[in-house]
Amino acid sequence: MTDTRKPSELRGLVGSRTRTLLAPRVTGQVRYTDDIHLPRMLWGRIVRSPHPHARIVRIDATRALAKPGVIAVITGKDMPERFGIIPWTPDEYPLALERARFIGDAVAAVAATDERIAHEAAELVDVEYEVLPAATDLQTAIDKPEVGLGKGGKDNVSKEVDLAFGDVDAALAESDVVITGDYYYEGSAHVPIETHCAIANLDKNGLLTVWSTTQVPHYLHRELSRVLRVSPTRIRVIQPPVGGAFGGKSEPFSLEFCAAKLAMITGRPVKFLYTREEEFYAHRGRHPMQIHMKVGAKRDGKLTSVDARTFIDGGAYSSFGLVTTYYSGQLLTLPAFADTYRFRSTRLFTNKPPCGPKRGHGSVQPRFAFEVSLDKISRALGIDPIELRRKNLVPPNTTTLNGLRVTSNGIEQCLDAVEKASGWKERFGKLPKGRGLGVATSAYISGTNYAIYPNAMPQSAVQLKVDRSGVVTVFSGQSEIGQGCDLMLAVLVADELGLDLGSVRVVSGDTDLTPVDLGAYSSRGTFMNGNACLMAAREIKSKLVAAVAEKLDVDPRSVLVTRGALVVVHDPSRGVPVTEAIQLAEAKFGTLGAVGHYNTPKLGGDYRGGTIGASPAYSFTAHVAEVSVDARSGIVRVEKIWVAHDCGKALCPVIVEGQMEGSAYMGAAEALLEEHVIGPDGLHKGPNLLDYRIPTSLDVPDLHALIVESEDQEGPLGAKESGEGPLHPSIPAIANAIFDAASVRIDRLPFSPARVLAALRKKQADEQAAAVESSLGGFAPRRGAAPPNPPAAE
Amino acid sequence: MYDWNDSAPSVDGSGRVISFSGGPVRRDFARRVRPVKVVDETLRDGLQSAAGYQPDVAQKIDLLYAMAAIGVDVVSVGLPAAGLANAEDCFLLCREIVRSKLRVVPTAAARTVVADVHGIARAADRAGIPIEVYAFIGSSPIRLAVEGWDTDFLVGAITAAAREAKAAGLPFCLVTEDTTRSNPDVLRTLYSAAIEAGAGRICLCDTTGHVTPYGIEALVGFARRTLDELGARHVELDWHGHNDRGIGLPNALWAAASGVDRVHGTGLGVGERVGNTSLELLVENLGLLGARPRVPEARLVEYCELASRALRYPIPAGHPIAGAETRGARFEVRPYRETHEESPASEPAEPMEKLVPMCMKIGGSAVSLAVPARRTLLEALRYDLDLVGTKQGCDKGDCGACTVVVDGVAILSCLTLALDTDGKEVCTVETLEGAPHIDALLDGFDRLGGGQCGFCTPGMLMTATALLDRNPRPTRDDIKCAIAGNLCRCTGYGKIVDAIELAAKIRRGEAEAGVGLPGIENTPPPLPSNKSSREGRQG
Ligand code: FES
Ligand code: FES
Repeated sequence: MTDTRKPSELRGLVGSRTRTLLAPRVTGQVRYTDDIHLPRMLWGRIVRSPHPHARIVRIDATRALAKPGVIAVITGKDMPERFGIIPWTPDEYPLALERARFIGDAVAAVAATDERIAHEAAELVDVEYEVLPAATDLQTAIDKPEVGLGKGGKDNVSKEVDLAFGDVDAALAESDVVITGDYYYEGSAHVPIETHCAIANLDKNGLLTVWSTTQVPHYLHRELSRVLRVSPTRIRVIQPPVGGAFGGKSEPFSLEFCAAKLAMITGRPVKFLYTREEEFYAHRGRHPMQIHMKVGAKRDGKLTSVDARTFIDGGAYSSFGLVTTYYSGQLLTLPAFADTYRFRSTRLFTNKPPCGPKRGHGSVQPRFAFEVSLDKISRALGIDPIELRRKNLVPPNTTTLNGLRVTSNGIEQCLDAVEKASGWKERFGKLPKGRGLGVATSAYISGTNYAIYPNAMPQSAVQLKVDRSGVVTVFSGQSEIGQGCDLMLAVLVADELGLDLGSVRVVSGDTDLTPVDLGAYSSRGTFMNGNACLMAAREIKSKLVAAVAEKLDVDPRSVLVTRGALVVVHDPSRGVPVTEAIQLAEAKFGTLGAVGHYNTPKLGGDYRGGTIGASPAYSFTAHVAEVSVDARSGIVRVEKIWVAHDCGKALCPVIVEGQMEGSAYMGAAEALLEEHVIGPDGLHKGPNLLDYRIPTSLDVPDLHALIVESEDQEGPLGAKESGEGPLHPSIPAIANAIFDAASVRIDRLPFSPARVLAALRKKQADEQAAAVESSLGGFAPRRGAAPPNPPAAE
Repeated sequence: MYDWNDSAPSVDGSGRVISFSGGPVRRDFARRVRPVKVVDETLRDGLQSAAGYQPDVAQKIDLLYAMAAIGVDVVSVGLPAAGLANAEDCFLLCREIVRSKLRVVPTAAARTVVADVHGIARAADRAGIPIEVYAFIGSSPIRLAVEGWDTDFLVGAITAAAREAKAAGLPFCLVTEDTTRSNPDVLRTLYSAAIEAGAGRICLCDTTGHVTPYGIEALVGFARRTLDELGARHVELDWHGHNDRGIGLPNALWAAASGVDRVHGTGLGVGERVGNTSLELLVENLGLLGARPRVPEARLVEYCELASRALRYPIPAGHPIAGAETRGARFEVRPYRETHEESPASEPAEPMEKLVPMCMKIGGSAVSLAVPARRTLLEALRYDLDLVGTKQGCDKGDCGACTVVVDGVAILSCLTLALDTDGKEVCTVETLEGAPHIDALLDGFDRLGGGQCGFCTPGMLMTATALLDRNPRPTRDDIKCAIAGNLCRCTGYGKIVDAIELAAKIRRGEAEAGVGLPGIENTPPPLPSNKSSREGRQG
């Protein structure tokens, strides 16, 4: 193709503030999963374990089945097939077969004629349990291997990763300052406003259709086929628009299997809709992590080494845990890093709702520890924290310490942008007591380099159908979950072919209609699906250009696509409207259509696990947070967050900003409010939206999204991800701002008023004690104040 | 067969027993007992039992139907002054009575203070039915001593409360607590004050379950005479007795025989302390005595089961009508359930849900439907009317996704009974206009990215619609406050506030509407003429 325009010269829809075309979706004209009611539809309900760890002795459904309106009850024995999103660690059953591993674990399922009967019938299923010893917190899982939740039952270990790059001990020994810290990152939940829902229907030809609120229709398709032992050719998965996911819907759940099985048994459609409470127990949210981290630096601020030991609270099942464990270390080496690195992470099983991927999978927690460590170093060395980061940036077009290939990198512009917008130079360290600024940075993948199951096929694909009326339909396997991928595709196609946005339709997330895309996870949408789409659109475009060139009798290279028409570049008065160009091309080439796909180049470090964290491109983010700390109540208010994000190229700036703001907001919420805490009894502390506090419109800071465009060479028109990266720095930026405001370090999430107040009181007591000691003669060693000289390694 | 029941006492003209000499007692009862009415106090006294469980309004409504089905004449709908929720329930029950034309008279309890009477008047106004006020006041010397009241105080209170009721057009009954231990002089004074102020009924109470049948006879006689003396023959008498001695039911029957007009009871006899007269047994016995029509036992069983569920009070195994032990022998009493198989574990069966017709206006057009009383507006919209634009995020009132506008006010449809919107104008997100004359809010959200996954958006749009309708020029803070009950997990709210601001501007004509909306106009090309088609063929 002969498009000589550089991405930056593009005019038209790309990069413009287009409409988001959401009206049909928000007025009931497009159905979400729960909006689908089928004739004769049954309602399902899952019977859940009331014990954190128990052997299932016997299940008796007599009472439930006798209830009028109850049609069927199934148990683990009906689907005795293990599954798991990671093919190496399948450890879940749709319904527990022998052991229930957490309160809320699915043990049976009921189908009945209405929702209320199903709920009541679930209570009538009599399950006899033999209660087993449980580990409901990380420490117990470490201390009591005999609980035996791990493979083979001899310990509770889910996954262990131990990687070292360079001589860490030597580098630490040579450092002028070493900061050692213990950090605890509390778990949190996704809390999409739409809870999980699935509907299954077996038609009279034997085709099983499953509608689900999933982010990964393709993987669901495969797993349904495996677990139900039904040929994939007899299964169709449809993913209607999803009402928020954030990673919480990126693997198969019990409800999809149960709906399908019950539909097969009863011959009637079956719907399952999780209640808000079930949503909290289904979980797969952020892993709690306990991180012991050492970061060393030279006096000039050059980082020497990072050494981390991390324990990860995995909950009852593996989920994505294998990857999480790698991500807890692998993604730290950008954007600013040291010369040597070692991390050892252990993921343990506990008898709690399973943890999984939440926006910024596995990498948000170590990011918090690391960026706070950097802040501590900057204080110890007296170097401005932004400067400190600048001194250690990994440059573009290099390879990181752990073998990640870095191409475009706009972190410097990000730092410049937040520094300027926040008035950092004039204000940092100079705000009145109780008010402060903090900075943090991060980097994130634009898709994982490898599919979850090894294969050589494309990661993403798109088909285009061109209608001679001037309508182009995009068939895409990507999942629209609110991140805006449908609009992104429409904008790319419309821009490429000179159409207006109203002439492009997008059909996505339907295994019968759309080509395979691996799903909406790991920030792969824009980069991979966008590239696939561009490939297809460009093929069509070349045909339009050739047909127009023939008609106008000019060289194809001199035909330019503009909005609405293809014109001759040096004589724009000569041209053909797009619709006519389509008709000319159809006459010349036959029916128009194209496929496009994307696959990643071979990337990654040459060691076990070296491919995890490898991505065709990385996004970069810098945050400055401004907070106020009320010394009497311990209440922290985040006043403002400036978030600068290098997304390569903002194809749809409105959406990119939305992703940046949404990420920053979610991060701030984890920092201040949210706690997914399971008590020693295995019960969630408050599985509802009143007790689990997600911010309201009155709780959010002012969010300032500053888009940075580094124009990635491999991204579609230069674009990279923007959905997850911008979350990471929120938490450490706020933590660092709290220190600036009140001189206390809170190394444990969330920064709740009680915790902040306790830290303030302790600081006060320490200062008083120091004052007393110094008044006693001045020989007492100083405590609590910053050391006058950089301390040696601890 | 000789029936000792037939050896009735001879009584003199005033009803006093002279001797037991035989005679047809039933006919005697039938003669003596004027058609006595039955008052069901389950939803008032029954809720003061030690269990302290408060049923939800759907359970109360179910029970209300069962009461009507066993012929209860008068239903106490509660004590509205006990709290907002109680007041609301009282209102809902009364409205149910009006709507379904149930043949029961509603009454509500009140302390003898003006405010309480006022509360009942409000509920009556809203429901559109007069509610009888049962105003209670302590009248025994013990109560007077404990509370430090004197007769003047009581007279003042009674007068004020009764006048208030009269002004509101509500029948007024004076309930003298602990009547069975009250001084006749005091009673006479109180009665006279009440009647003077418009009371039409006096309720005699055996609050402590202390009285025996002869005491009742004497008390009723005294009350009747006093009313005669006060020239108030029209004033009726109620009997409300407790069961502390275990003779609540005999006492109630005796009161009926002694000439009161209404007798009180509660389902399964549940009530304060050891409880009251069992209403189902009272109805059954009055039926057996020929003083009231018999009620089919199936209905009584149904009543007991619903009362048991509403009160969280198990039916005693030996309960004469509905007990598990007695019920086995009565297969014929369960006609309601003949259509279903008996479940082996004798799970209490679902009462058939009655569908209540209702109508509302949605987007200007009237829609009629029939729903069970417990149906929420959210369910009615989504399931019955297929208006799936309104979303469910929690079903508990925590998320705001289900917000709709009812008569101009944004409300949570998951917490609103569908019947509550009967006759009202409901605005859902479906009623917002789309392209080309797109609604200003939809326009704003679409242009500025106010929605991402779109799941909270319908609720946001509805909240914002109500906001802009009442405040066309909201500040950013106004907007934030208005949407504080609508959770969004995607946007961080900034773009939502922007979108609402823009919509307000569009509505005020200060910003252009529909910018960048893909157009739909098309000028059709001329139809091919013969000439051109010929040319086409040639070409
Ligand atoms: S569904 Fe009504 S408030 Fe959540
Ligand atoms: S747009 Fe997704 S919850 Fe608000």
